[in-house]
Amino acid sequence: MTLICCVDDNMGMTFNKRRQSRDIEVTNVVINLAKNGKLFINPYSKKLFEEAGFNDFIIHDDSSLDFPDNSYFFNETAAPSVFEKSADEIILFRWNRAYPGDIHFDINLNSGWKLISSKEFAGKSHEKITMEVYKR
Amino acid sequence: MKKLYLRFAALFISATMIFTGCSFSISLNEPDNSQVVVVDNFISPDRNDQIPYYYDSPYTIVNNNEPYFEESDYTTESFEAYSPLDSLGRCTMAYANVSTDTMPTEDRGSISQVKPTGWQSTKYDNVDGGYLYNRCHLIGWQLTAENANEENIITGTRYLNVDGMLPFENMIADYIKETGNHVLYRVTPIFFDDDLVAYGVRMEAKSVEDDGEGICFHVFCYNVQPGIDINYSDGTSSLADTKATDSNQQQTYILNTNSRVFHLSDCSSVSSMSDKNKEEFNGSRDKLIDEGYKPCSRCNP
Repeated sequence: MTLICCVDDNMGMTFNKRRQSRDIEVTNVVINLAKNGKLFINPYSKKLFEEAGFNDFIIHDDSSLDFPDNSYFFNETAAPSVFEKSADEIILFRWNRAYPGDIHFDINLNSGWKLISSKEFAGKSHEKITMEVYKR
Repeated sequence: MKKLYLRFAALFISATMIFTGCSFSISLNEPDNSQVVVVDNFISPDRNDQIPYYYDSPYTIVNNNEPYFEESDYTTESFEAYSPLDSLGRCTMAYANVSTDTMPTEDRGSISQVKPTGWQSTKYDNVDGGYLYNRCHLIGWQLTAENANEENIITGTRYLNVDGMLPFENMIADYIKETGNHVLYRVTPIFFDDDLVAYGVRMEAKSVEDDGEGICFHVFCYNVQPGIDINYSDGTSSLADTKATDSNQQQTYILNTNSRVFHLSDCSSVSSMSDKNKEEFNGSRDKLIDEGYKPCSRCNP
Protein backbone atom coordinates (compact mmCIF):
# COMPACT_ATOMS: atom_id res chain seq x y z
CA MET A 1 0.00 0.00 0.00
CA THR A 2 1.14 3.53 -0.71
CA LEU A 3 0.31 5.81 2.18
CA ILE A 4 -0.37 9.41 1.15
CA CYS A 5 -0.48 12.32 3.61
CA CYS A 6 -0.30 16.11 3.50
CA VAL A 7 1.75 17.95 6.12
CA ASP A 8 2.70 21.47 7.11
CA ASP A 9 6.11 22.73 8.27
CA ASN A 10 5.57 21.07 11.66
CA MET A 11 4.38 17.75 10.21
CA GLY A 12 0.83 18.64 11.20
CA MET A 13 -2.14 17.17 9.36
CA THR A 14 -5.34 18.39 11.01
CA PHE A 15 -6.59 21.01 13.41
CA ASN A 16 -9.94 20.81 15.19
CA LYS A 17 -11.06 17.77 13.14
CA ARG A 18 -10.43 19.62 9.90
CA ARG A 19 -7.65 19.28 7.36
CA GLN A 20 -5.05 22.00 7.72
CA SER A 21 -5.22 22.84 4.05
CA ARG A 22 -6.26 21.58 0.65
CA ASP A 23 -5.30 22.21 -2.93
CA ILE A 24 -7.01 20.92 -6.05
CA GLU A 25 -3.62 20.29 -7.66
CA VAL A 26 -2.77 17.79 -4.93
CA THR A 27 -6.17 16.15 -5.26
CA ASN A 28 -5.59 15.78 -8.98
CA VAL A 29 -2.17 14.21 -8.46
CA VAL A 30 -3.70 11.68 -6.09
CA ILE A 31 -6.48 10.93 -8.57
CA ASN A 32 -3.88 10.30 -11.27
CA LEU A 33 -1.93 7.99 -8.97
CA ALA A 34 -5.07 6.05 -8.25
CA LYS A 35 -5.36 5.09 -11.90
CA ASN A 36 -2.62 2.57 -11.12
CA GLY A 37 -4.64 0.83 -8.43
CA LYS A 38 -7.38 1.27 -5.86
CA LEU A 39 -7.75 4.47 -3.87
CA PHE A 40 -8.77 4.24 -0.22
CA ILE A 41 -9.74 7.40 1.65
CA ASN A 42 -11.02 8.45 5.07
CA PRO A 43 -14.76 9.16 5.27
CA TYR A 44 -13.81 12.81 5.80
CA SER A 45 -12.12 12.96 2.38
CA LYS A 46 -15.17 11.81 0.41
CA LYS A 47 -16.42 15.30 -0.38
CA LEU A 48 -12.95 16.46 -1.41
CA PHE A 49 -12.78 13.91 -4.21
CA GLU A 50 -16.42 14.23 -5.19
CA GLU A 51 -15.93 17.96 -5.64
CA ALA A 52 -13.03 17.11 -7.96
CA GLY A 53 -15.40 14.92 -9.98
CA PHE A 54 -13.86 11.65 -8.85
CA ASN A 55 -15.92 8.88 -7.30
CA ASP A 56 -13.83 5.75 -7.84
CA PHE A 57 -12.65 5.38 -4.27
CA ILE A 58 -13.20 3.07 -1.32
CA ILE A 59 -13.99 4.51 2.08
CA HIS A 60 -11.61 3.11 4.65
CA ASP A 61 -13.60 2.67 7.83
CA ASP A 62 -10.60 2.06 10.10
CA SER A 63 -11.87 -1.42 10.98
CA SER A 64 -9.11 -3.16 9.04
CA LEU A 65 -5.48 -2.48 8.32
CA ASP A 66 -5.49 -4.80 5.32
CA PHE A 67 -5.00 -3.25 1.92
CA PRO A 68 -4.80 -5.09 -1.41
CA ASP A 69 -1.77 -4.88 -3.66
CA ASN A 70 -1.52 -1.74 -5.79
CA SER A 71 -3.60 0.25 -3.37
CA TYR A 72 -3.23 3.86 -2.33
CA PHE A 73 -4.46 5.22 0.97
CA PHE A 74 -5.01 8.98 1.13
CA ASN A 75 -5.09 9.51 4.87
CA GLU A 76 -6.08 12.94 6.11
CA THR A 77 -7.47 12.40 9.58
CA ALA A 78 -5.65 9.62 11.44
CA ALA A 79 -2.18 9.68 12.94
CA PRO A 80 -0.56 7.48 10.29
CA SER A 81 1.83 5.35 12.36
CA VAL A 82 -0.87 2.72 12.80
CA PHE A 83 -0.72 2.12 9.04
CA GLU A 84 3.06 2.08 8.76
CA LYS A 85 3.35 -1.72 8.76
CA SER A 86 0.93 -1.95 5.86
CA ALA A 87 2.81 0.61 3.78
CA ASP A 88 5.64 -0.14 1.38
CA GLU A 89 5.70 3.41 0.09
CA ILE A 90 4.89 6.81 1.56
CA ILE A 91 4.04 9.92 -0.43
CA LEU A 92 4.15 13.20 1.46
CA PHE A 93 2.78 16.43 0.13
CA ARG A 94 4.35 19.33 1.99
CA TRP A 95 2.44 22.60 1.99
CA ASN A 96 5.57 24.57 2.89
CA ARG A 97 3.47 26.65 5.23
CA ALA A 98 2.89 26.61 8.99
CA TYR A 99 -0.62 25.92 10.23
CA PRO A 100 -2.00 25.03 13.65
CA GLY A 101 -2.01 21.28 14.17
CA ASP A 102 -3.33 18.71 16.63
CA ILE A 103 -2.81 15.46 14.72
CA HIS A 104 0.66 15.03 13.30
CA PHE A 105 2.42 12.72 10.90
CA ASP A 106 3.98 10.41 13.47
CA ILE A 107 6.06 8.03 11.34
CA ASN A 108 9.80 8.47 11.75
CA LEU A 109 11.00 8.77 8.16
CA ASN A 110 14.61 8.57 9.34
CA SER A 111 14.07 5.02 10.48
CA GLY A 112 13.62 2.40 7.79
CA TRP A 113 12.54 4.78 5.05
CA LYS A 114 14.55 6.27 2.22
CA LEU A 115 13.70 9.38 0.22
CA ILE A 116 13.46 8.27 -3.42
CA SER A 117 12.29 11.43 -5.12
CA SER A 118 11.24 14.98 -4.43
CA LYS A 119 9.62 17.45 -6.76
CA GLU A 120 8.00 20.84 -6.40
CA PHE A 121 4.97 22.21 -8.11
CA ALA A 122 2.65 25.19 -7.75
CA GLY A 123 -0.84 24.64 -6.42
CA LYS A 124 -3.97 26.66 -6.83
CA SER A 125 -3.68 28.19 -3.36
CA HIS A 126 -0.11 27.27 -2.45
CA GLU A 127 2.94 28.80 -4.08
CA LYS A 128 5.08 25.72 -3.65
CA ILE A 129 4.01 22.20 -2.81
CA THR A 130 6.68 19.53 -2.41
CA MET A 131 5.88 15.93 -3.25
CA GLU A 132 8.22 13.44 -1.61
CA VAL A 133 8.28 9.69 -2.23
CA TYR A 134 9.74 7.36 0.38
CA LYS A 135 10.36 3.63 0.09
CA ARG A 136 11.55 1.07 2.59
CA MET B 1 -13.37 47.99 34.73
CA LYS B 2 -12.32 44.55 33.69
CA LYS B 3 -12.22 41.97 36.40
CA LEU B 4 -9.38 39.58 36.93
CA TYR B 5 -10.13 36.46 38.85
CA LEU B 6 -7.40 34.11 39.91
CA ARG B 7 -7.79 30.70 41.28
CA PHE B 8 -5.48 27.81 41.73
CA ALA B 9 -6.01 24.40 40.27
CA ALA B 10 -3.92 21.35 39.70
CA LEU B 11 -3.99 21.10 35.95
CA PHE B 12 -2.48 24.32 34.85
CA ILE B 13 0.81 26.03 35.06
CA SER B 14 3.52 27.54 36.47
CA ALA B 15 3.86 31.15 35.88
CA THR B 16 4.59 33.53 38.67
CA MET B 17 2.44 36.60 38.89
CA ILE B 18 3.83 39.66 40.54
CA PHE B 19 1.15 42.25 40.97
CA THR B 20 2.36 45.80 40.82
CA GLY B 21 -0.55 48.10 41.28
CA CYS B 22 -2.98 47.21 38.55
CA SER B 23 -0.51 45.42 36.32
CA PHE B 24 1.60 42.31 36.48
CA SER B 25 4.64 40.66 35.08
CA ILE B 26 5.18 37.00 34.40
CA SER B 27 8.21 34.85 34.84
CA LEU B 28 7.90 31.78 32.68
CA ASN B 29 10.57 29.81 34.40
CA GLU B 30 9.29 29.15 37.87
CA PRO B 31 7.35 25.90 37.97
CA ASP B 32 5.02 24.27 40.44
CA ASN B 33 2.23 26.78 40.89
CA SER B 34 -0.85 25.82 39.00
CA GLN B 35 -3.05 28.69 38.09
CA VAL B 36 -6.07 29.43 36.04
CA VAL B 37 -6.99 32.92 35.08
CA VAL B 38 -10.54 33.86 34.28
CA VAL B 39 -10.73 36.93 32.14
CA ASP B 40 -13.80 38.92 31.27
CA ASN B 41 -14.50 38.79 27.59
CA PHE B 42 -13.97 42.12 25.91
CA ILE B 43 -16.63 41.33 23.33
CA SER B 44 -19.18 39.59 25.46
CA PRO B 45 -18.82 40.67 29.08
CA ASP B 46 -21.28 37.99 30.14
CA ARG B 47 -18.77 35.25 29.24
CA ASN B 48 -15.78 34.40 31.39
CA ASP B 49 -13.40 32.08 29.62
CA GLN B 50 -10.90 30.13 31.60
CA ILE B 51 -7.52 30.66 30.04
CA PRO B 52 -4.58 28.72 31.49
CA TYR B 53 -1.26 30.46 31.78
CA TYR B 54 1.20 29.81 29.01
CA TYR B 55 3.44 26.87 29.34
CA ASP B 56 4.54 25.22 26.11
CA SER B 57 2.07 25.93 23.35
CA PRO B 58 1.72 29.34 21.67
CA TYR B 59 -2.06 29.08 21.92
CA THR B 60 -4.81 27.45 23.92
CA ILE B 61 -8.25 26.43 22.73
CA VAL B 62 -11.23 28.42 23.99
CA ASN B 63 -14.88 27.31 24.14
CA ASN B 64 -14.09 24.01 22.39
CA ASN B 65 -12.93 25.96 19.35
CA GLU B 66 -16.38 27.42 18.77
CA PRO B 67 -16.44 31.19 18.09
CA TYR B 68 -18.90 33.54 19.76
CA PHE B 69 -20.24 35.06 16.55
CA GLU B 70 -23.90 35.92 16.39
CA GLU B 71 -25.99 34.17 13.76
CA SER B 72 -26.77 37.55 12.24
CA ASP B 73 -23.03 38.09 11.62
CA TYR B 74 -22.89 35.42 8.96
CA THR B 75 -23.05 37.03 5.58
CA THR B 76 -21.47 36.67 2.18
CA GLU B 77 -20.81 40.42 2.10
CA SER B 78 -17.16 41.20 2.81
CA PHE B 79 -16.48 43.76 5.55
CA GLU B 80 -13.75 45.05 7.81
CA ALA B 81 -14.20 46.88 11.12
CA TYR B 82 -11.50 48.22 13.38
CA SER B 83 -12.71 49.45 16.75
CA PRO B 84 -11.38 52.78 18.05
CA LEU B 85 -8.44 52.88 20.43
CA ASP B 86 -9.42 53.04 24.10
CA SER B 87 -8.59 55.90 26.46
CA LEU B 88 -5.07 54.52 26.95
CA GLY B 89 -4.48 54.34 23.21
CA ARG B 90 -4.80 50.56 23.05
CA CYS B 91 -6.32 48.52 20.27
CA THR B 92 -9.66 47.02 21.16
CA MET B 93 -10.85 44.72 18.38
CA ALA B 94 -10.64 43.97 14.68
CA TYR B 95 -13.45 42.15 12.91
CA ALA B 96 -13.78 41.18 9.27
CA ASN B 97 -15.57 38.94 6.86
CA VAL B 98 -12.47 38.00 4.92
CA SER B 99 -12.60 37.02 1.28
CA THR B 100 -10.65 37.44 -1.92
CA ASP B 101 -12.21 40.93 -2.00
CA THR B 102 -10.32 41.98 1.13
CA MET B 103 -6.99 40.34 0.38
CA PRO B 104 -3.99 42.37 -0.85
CA THR B 105 -3.45 43.13 -4.50
CA GLU B 106 -0.22 45.07 -4.10
CA ASP B 107 2.98 44.93 -2.07
CA ARG B 108 2.96 45.75 1.59
CA GLY B 109 4.27 49.15 2.72
CA SER B 110 6.17 50.22 5.80
CA ILE B 111 4.49 50.21 9.21
CA SER B 112 7.41 51.61 11.18
CA GLN B 113 5.59 54.88 11.80
CA VAL B 114 3.06 53.13 14.05
CA LYS B 115 4.03 53.01 17.74
CA PRO B 116 1.53 50.79 19.54
CA THR B 117 1.19 51.03 23.32
CA GLY B 118 4.01 49.42 25.27
CA TRP B 119 6.38 49.62 22.33
CA GLN B 120 9.84 49.18 23.90
CA SER B 121 11.95 47.78 21.14
CA THR B 122 14.67 45.55 22.55
CA LYS B 123 17.04 43.06 20.96
CA TYR B 124 17.91 39.67 22.41
CA ASP B 125 20.23 36.98 21.09
CA ASN B 126 17.73 34.26 21.96
CA VAL B 127 14.86 35.75 19.94
CA ASP B 128 14.42 34.71 16.34
CA GLY B 129 15.16 37.80 14.25
CA GLY B 130 16.68 39.56 17.25
CA TYR B 131 13.89 41.94 18.22
CA LEU B 132 11.53 40.97 21.02
CA TYR B 133 8.61 42.92 19.66
CA ASN B 134 6.93 43.05 16.29
CA ARG B 135 4.29 45.49 15.21
CA CYS B 136 1.72 42.80 15.25
CA HIS B 137 -1.38 43.12 13.08
CA LEU B 138 -4.58 41.97 14.70
CA ILE B 139 -5.90 40.96 11.31
CA GLY B 140 -2.89 40.02 9.24
CA TRP B 141 -1.85 41.86 6.12
CA GLN B 142 -2.40 38.78 3.99
CA LEU B 143 -6.11 38.77 4.90
CA THR B 144 -7.30 42.37 4.68
CA ALA B 145 -4.31 44.32 3.33
CA GLU B 146 -4.73 46.68 6.28
CA ASN B 147 -1.23 47.90 6.85
CA ALA B 148 -0.32 50.95 8.94
CA ASN B 149 -3.66 51.21 10.72
CA GLU B 150 -3.01 51.96 14.41
CA GLU B 151 -6.35 50.38 15.28
CA ASN B 152 -5.04 47.09 13.92
CA ILE B 153 -1.52 46.94 15.37
CA ILE B 154 -0.40 45.93 18.85
CA THR B 155 2.96 45.36 20.50
CA GLY B 156 3.39 41.64 20.04
CA THR B 157 6.30 39.34 20.69
CA ARG B 158 8.02 37.58 17.84
CA TYR B 159 6.64 34.36 19.30
CA LEU B 160 3.07 35.66 19.27
CA ASN B 161 3.40 36.91 15.73
CA VAL B 162 5.15 33.95 14.11
CA ASP B 163 4.32 30.91 16.25
CA GLY B 164 0.98 32.04 17.60
CA MET B 165 -1.01 34.05 15.09
CA LEU B 166 0.59 33.46 11.71
CA PRO B 167 -0.32 29.74 11.37
CA PHE B 168 -4.00 30.57 11.89
CA GLU B 169 -3.83 33.41 9.40
CA ASN B 170 -2.14 31.11 6.88
CA MET B 171 -4.89 28.55 7.31
CA ILE B 172 -7.59 31.13 6.63
CA ALA B 173 -5.76 32.72 3.70
CA ASP B 174 -5.11 29.45 1.90
CA TYR B 175 -8.65 28.23 2.48
CA ILE B 176 -10.07 31.41 0.93
CA LYS B 177 -7.69 31.24 -2.04
CA GLU B 178 -8.69 27.64 -2.64
CA THR B 179 -12.45 27.90 -2.19
CA GLY B 180 -13.34 31.54 -2.82
CA ASN B 181 -15.45 31.39 0.35
CA HIS B 182 -15.73 33.96 3.15
CA VAL B 183 -14.34 33.55 6.65
CA LEU B 184 -15.72 35.51 9.57
CA TYR B 185 -12.70 36.48 11.62
CA ARG B 186 -12.32 38.48 14.82
CA VAL B 187 -9.20 39.26 16.82
CA THR B 188 -9.44 40.82 20.26
CA PRO B 189 -6.40 41.77 22.33
CA ILE B 190 -6.75 41.00 26.03
CA PHE B 191 -5.23 43.58 28.36
CA PHE B 192 -5.29 43.34 32.11
CA ASP B 193 -6.36 46.56 33.76
CA ASP B 194 -4.17 49.45 32.62
CA ASP B 195 -1.38 47.38 31.09
CA LEU B 196 -0.01 48.74 27.85
CA VAL B 197 0.98 45.35 26.45
CA ALA B 198 -1.68 42.74 25.82
CA TYR B 199 -1.33 39.40 27.53
CA GLY B 200 -2.55 37.79 24.35
CA VAL B 201 -5.17 37.84 21.64
CA ARG B 202 -8.43 36.00 21.26
CA MET B 203 -8.82 34.72 17.69
CA GLU B 204 -12.17 33.48 16.39
CA ALA B 205 -12.88 32.30 12.86
CA LYS B 206 -15.55 30.38 10.99
CA SER B 207 -16.03 29.84 7.29
CA VAL B 208 -19.37 31.14 6.09
CA GLU B 209 -20.54 29.31 2.99
CA ASP B 210 -19.85 25.83 4.42
CA ASP B 211 -20.89 26.68 8.00
CA GLY B 212 -17.47 26.07 9.48
CA GLU B 213 -16.72 22.84 7.67
CA GLY B 214 -13.50 24.31 6.31
CA ILE B 215 -12.44 26.75 9.04
CA CYS B 216 -13.61 26.83 12.63
CA PHE B 217 -11.51 27.83 15.60
CA HIS B 218 -11.49 29.88 18.76
CA VAL B 219 -8.12 30.22 20.44
CA PHE B 220 -6.15 32.47 22.72
CA CYS B 221 -2.60 33.19 21.57
CA TYR B 222 -0.13 34.19 24.25
CA ASN B 223 1.88 37.37 23.93
CA VAL B 224 4.93 35.83 25.57
CA GLN B 225 8.47 35.12 24.48
CA PRO B 226 10.20 32.02 25.86
CA GLY B 227 13.37 33.03 27.65
CA ILE B 228 12.24 36.63 28.19
CA ASP B 229 10.35 38.17 31.10
CA ILE B 230 7.93 40.92 30.09
CA ASN B 231 6.47 43.65 32.26
CA TYR B 232 3.05 44.05 30.68
CA SER B 233 2.41 47.38 32.36
CA ASP B 234 4.89 49.24 30.17
CA GLY B 235 6.52 46.74 27.79
CA THR B 236 9.91 46.67 29.46
CA SER B 237 11.60 43.29 29.43
CA SER B 238 14.60 41.35 30.65
CA LEU B 239 16.36 38.11 29.98
CA ALA B 240 14.85 35.28 32.01
CA ASP B 241 17.06 33.02 34.05
CA THR B 242 17.99 30.16 31.79
CA LYS B 243 20.14 27.13 32.20
CA ALA B 244 23.38 27.41 30.28
CA THR B 245 23.71 24.43 27.97
CA ASP B 246 25.91 23.51 25.10
CA SER B 247 23.46 23.21 22.23
CA ASN B 248 25.55 20.46 20.62
CA GLN B 249 25.85 18.44 23.79
CA GLN B 250 24.39 14.94 23.49
CA GLN B 251 21.80 14.25 26.13
CA THR B 252 18.41 12.71 26.72
CA TYR B 253 15.31 14.77 26.07
CA ILE B 254 11.65 13.87 26.24
CA LEU B 255 9.67 14.85 23.17
CA ASN B 256 6.01 15.67 22.99
CA THR B 257 5.44 14.52 19.40
CA ASN B 258 2.04 16.20 19.34
CA SER B 259 2.92 19.70 20.54
CA ARG B 260 6.45 19.40 19.06
CA VAL B 261 8.01 20.60 22.30
CA PHE B 262 11.03 18.99 23.95
CA HIS B 263 11.70 18.74 27.66
CA LEU B 264 14.37 17.73 30.11
CA SER B 265 13.77 14.27 31.57
CA ASP B 266 12.93 15.70 34.98
CA CYS B 267 10.60 18.41 33.72
CA SER B 268 7.33 18.42 35.64
CA SER B 269 5.46 18.60 32.33
CA VAL B 270 6.63 15.13 31.38
CA SER B 271 4.54 13.36 34.02
CA SER B 272 1.35 14.88 32.67
CA MET B 273 2.20 14.06 29.05
CA SER B 274 0.11 11.44 27.29
CA ASP B 275 2.11 8.25 26.68
CA LYS B 276 1.14 8.19 23.02
CA ASN B 277 2.73 11.60 22.52
CA LYS B 278 5.84 10.88 24.58
CA GLU B 279 9.12 9.88 22.96
CA GLU B 280 12.64 9.69 24.34
CA PHE B 281 15.36 11.30 22.26
CA ASN B 282 19.12 11.01 22.69
CA GLY B 283 21.02 13.68 20.82
CA SER B 284 21.68 17.38 20.63
CA ARG B 285 19.44 20.35 21.25
CA ASP B 286 20.45 21.74 17.85
CA LYS B 287 19.18 18.64 16.08
CA LEU B 288 15.78 18.94 17.73
CA ILE B 289 15.55 22.63 16.82
CA ASP B 290 16.45 21.71 13.23
CA GLU B 291 13.63 19.16 13.23
CA GLY B 292 11.15 21.85 14.22
CA TYR B 293 10.90 21.12 17.93
CA LYS B 294 10.71 23.99 20.39
CA PRO B 295 12.17 24.05 23.91
CA CYS B 296 9.80 23.89 26.84
CA SER B 297 9.69 27.26 28.55
CA ARG B 298 9.17 25.54 31.87
CA CYS B 299 12.41 23.55 32.04
CA ASN B 300 14.37 25.51 29.42
CA PRO B 301 16.19 22.52 27.93
